[in-house]
Amino acid sequence: MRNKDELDKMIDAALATYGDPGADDLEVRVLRGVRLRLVSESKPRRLRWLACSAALAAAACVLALVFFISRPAMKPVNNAHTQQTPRDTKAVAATTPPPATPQETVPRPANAMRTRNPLPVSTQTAKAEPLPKLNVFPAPAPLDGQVEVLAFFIRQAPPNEVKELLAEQAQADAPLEVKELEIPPLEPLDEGGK
Amino acid sequence: MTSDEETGFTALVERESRFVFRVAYAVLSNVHDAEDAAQETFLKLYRNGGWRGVENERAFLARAAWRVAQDCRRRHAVSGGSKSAITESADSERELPSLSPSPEQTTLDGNRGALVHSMIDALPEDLRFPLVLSAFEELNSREIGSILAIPEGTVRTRIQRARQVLRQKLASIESRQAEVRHAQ
Repeated sequence: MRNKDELDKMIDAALATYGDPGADDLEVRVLRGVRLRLVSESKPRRLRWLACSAALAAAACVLALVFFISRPAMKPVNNAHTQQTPRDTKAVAATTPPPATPQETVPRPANAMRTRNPLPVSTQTAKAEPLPKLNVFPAPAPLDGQVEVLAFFIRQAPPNEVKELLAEQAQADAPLEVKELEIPPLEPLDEGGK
Repeated sequence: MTSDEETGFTALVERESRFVFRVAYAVLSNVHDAEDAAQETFLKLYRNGGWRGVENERAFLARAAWRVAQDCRRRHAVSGGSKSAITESADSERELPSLSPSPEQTTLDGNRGALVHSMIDALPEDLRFPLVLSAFEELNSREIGSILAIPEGTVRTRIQRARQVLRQKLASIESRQAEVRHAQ
């Protein structure tokens, strides 16, 4: 019969090896298992991120499209031909008829701006009808200062002076004729000449 | 995680795998379950980074492994059907292991270590857990008490009781063995 100390030694020895995995490569297996689990968890997570980013991009595209469709037309209507520069045209106004405006050439209907279904102003601007074709193109514009002076001179000056002026102008406008250069060949130098 | 931390974590796994396995085995008493629990323990540590800057590494790992192993056991209990051998032995009659060879038979085979192991397996959990954890030199009674959520004094008492039970069983087996020899 063993005494208490011997039994305790037996118990301690057994406890020291209790649950011992032995000499196999437990560390390698555990490490491999951890890495495998990490990889298998990270794949669906990566896919989820991809799906989320793709959905976000698609939503952004749709939003941008909706924004651009509903956006008011920022392109201003070209009213250059309808506007007149305020200018002192007293001298010319008496003799020349005022330039015709599109409103005069092509009268717009009185209820052009009225619509059956009232829409916001921005939408109306965006859906404005194209401008009508002009009878005279380009639209007559007011004369500038020099042309006005010339017209005044032609109307007031005697006909002879006008003719002379026109002749001078025609002469000045005529194409220039330039004679070809004739360069004589160089003569040989005399003996002893420098 | 940086490469330095990766290297540190790999070293931790290589250094402490056996320890974590043994702690998990104390709860689960099944090699495969214990290995799964060890993997899960390290996986959790990797995810939350809790292994960095720990003062008492073994006590920390023992707590983590203990919790994971208990969760494992609970999951097994919930799933029902596939109970591990150790869980079965814990749930059934505690005095005798169900799947291990009988102590007498093991003694006759001359394998005393296996005999004591089977006796430890057969101990009630409240005695077995403190006894098995006390085998790790790094864990004192206070740390075992914090792991098991029992007072330090209770840990010592249960260890003493567990040893006493084991001694009694061993003594009775040896006396029976001596009787057999005498009869022959």
